Amino acid sequence: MKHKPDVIINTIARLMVPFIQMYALYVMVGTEGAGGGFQGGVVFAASFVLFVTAFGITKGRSRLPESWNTALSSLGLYLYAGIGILCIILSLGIANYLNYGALPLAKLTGIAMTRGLVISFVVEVGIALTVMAIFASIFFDLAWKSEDEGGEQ
Amino acid sequence: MKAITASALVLVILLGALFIYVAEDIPAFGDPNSPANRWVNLSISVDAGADVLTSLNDGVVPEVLAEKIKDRGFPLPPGYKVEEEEGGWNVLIPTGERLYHELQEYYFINREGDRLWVYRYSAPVRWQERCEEETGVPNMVTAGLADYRGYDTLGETTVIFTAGISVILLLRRRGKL
Amino acid sequence: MIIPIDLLALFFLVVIALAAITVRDLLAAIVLLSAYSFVIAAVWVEMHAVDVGFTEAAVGAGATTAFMIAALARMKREEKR
Repeated sequence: MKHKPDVIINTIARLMVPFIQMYALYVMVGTEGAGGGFQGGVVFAASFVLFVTAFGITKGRSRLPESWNTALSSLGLYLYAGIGILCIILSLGIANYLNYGALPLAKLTGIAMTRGLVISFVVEVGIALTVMAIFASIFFDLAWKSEDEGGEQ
Repeated sequence: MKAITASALVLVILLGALFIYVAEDIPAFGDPNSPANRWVNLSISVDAGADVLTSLNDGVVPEVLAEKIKDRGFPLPPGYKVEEEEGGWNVLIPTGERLYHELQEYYFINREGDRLWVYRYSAPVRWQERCEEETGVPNMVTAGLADYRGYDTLGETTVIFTAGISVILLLRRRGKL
Repeated sequence: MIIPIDLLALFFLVVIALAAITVRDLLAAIVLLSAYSFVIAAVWVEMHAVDVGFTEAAVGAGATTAFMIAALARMKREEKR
């Protein structure tokens, strides 16, 4: 049972997927409103789920290939843990792990602003990358086998 | 309807009632008229003798009080400072953070009648008061998750990462791994 | 934090949970669980806990339902008697 493309779902999905991803980016980076890296990543993965239900899994997999998927998931975690190590290295061992105030950026913008910037642009983005890649890869793995024989529900 | 056993039904009803009761009992999170109290009572009390007061006034926590605080599990780090405050004494302790050298407010010895009661600065209230100035992030939840408890969130992200990897290992049988 | 709305929504949650147990068709059970996570997200937001509500809405209705339906596509639809 091959995936039968349906015109209505395709146009709706083609219209909504970019806006869902834009919303996910807004949720992920903005520390004003509710939500942070985790919620942004899940919403981004949900946009891939919509893409797969509309255009079929093979097109979805070509959109987000496995190599990119696993690379992104480890990149996010690397970003988060890396910034922690960076704090120790750049402060020459003075600050302890994950103490963002010790980055040399603090000399430009002061400790409080540095911590704010690092939180909302490095840590949240790292979490969101990992969560997005992991949820997407779980969904692709779950839905993949059924595509060969069963077909998407 | 699938015939569920009576005991399962009773259990679900009871759990439902408990769930509703607990959900109603929690004060609303952002509720201004149920604020978390600033000082947590350690229920350590010493009678306010003359020698205790004099030693407190010149900035040293008396031995009998320090002993009680220590066996409560909060050893008083050396290099603390005692400051006079309205109605009691503020004990500031060094945080050991090499980057932030200034002393952090932690204990509060309150004088009630002829007894001295020891209080501790409750962490969530400290977060609430110092979050904006320390991290510059308006959203306290994000600051708490990413900065104050950043190590904890790092563990959480690692858990999600291992979940994904284990799903990849389990479900990919096509040998392309 | 309006108490009657809370009580109504929480009682509705218990009803959804009961229905999700007793219904036989698995797809209906998944949809009921998705409705459950939507209602609990609404209750949390109404209780001023916006972040938790947002996470529950994103994970509960978004990811978990998609995973379960994808898993369902591999299994049979009916539960054994």
